[in-house]
Amino acid sequence: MRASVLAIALLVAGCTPTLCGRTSDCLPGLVCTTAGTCAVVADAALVDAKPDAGSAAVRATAAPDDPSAGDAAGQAP
Amino acid sequence: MRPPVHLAALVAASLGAIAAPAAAEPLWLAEISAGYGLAMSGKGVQMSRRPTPLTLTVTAACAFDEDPPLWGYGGLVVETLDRNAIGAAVGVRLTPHGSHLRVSGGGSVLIAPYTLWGATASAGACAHATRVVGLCGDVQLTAYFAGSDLAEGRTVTQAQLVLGLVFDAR
Repeated sequence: MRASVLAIALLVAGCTPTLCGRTSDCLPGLVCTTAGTCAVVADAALVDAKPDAGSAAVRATAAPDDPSAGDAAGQAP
Repeated sequence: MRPPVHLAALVAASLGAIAAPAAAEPLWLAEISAGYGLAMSGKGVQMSRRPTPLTLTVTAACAFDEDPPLWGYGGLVVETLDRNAIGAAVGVRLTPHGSHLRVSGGGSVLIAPYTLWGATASAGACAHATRVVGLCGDVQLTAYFAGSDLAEGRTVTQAQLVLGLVFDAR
């Protein structure tokens, strides 16, 4: 039991919720970019092409599972 | 002097046994398992570490070689908890004689609603709870290297603790 709690604690502590590895890590309507962040589909290519792309892409980039991400993407959360 | 007929038959049978070893007795296993762990992707500051989905697997395994004791397995894979996807897994498993250990290697593919292609390797052990039911625990590594769910140029490697129930259909 103690080992299980420790394992779960380590699992959670080591996570990076603002980064994604798969598109399914992101909210619907967002895709995981090569930079490891979630972005709206239209801007994903822009983010992939230029990591420091314009502010539109930056605004569209949202943390996975971030409730505000849907708003940023123009969708209901 | 002609050798006795039964001696010739014995020699022929012996040669036959050497040339064509007896096929492994067909053995079947069914297994249901659940896996959960950590998925990693990228490197450096862009390296993501997230909990994996809960991966449910239903497989059937058949022994196809006795020495070494090799099994082939295949079945359905479902990802659930924070997403839903379905796919399949196939592979080969080695279960050394007189041991509870097992080592597996194979492939895993998710086909809907997104696609993922991966290679798996696992090691673990099983213990019989009853004559036909066993409990298994494995550590499984899966490397997803292609598919629509991956960003271009990225791969995802996940490490999972897999607990399973094995039903021996011997």
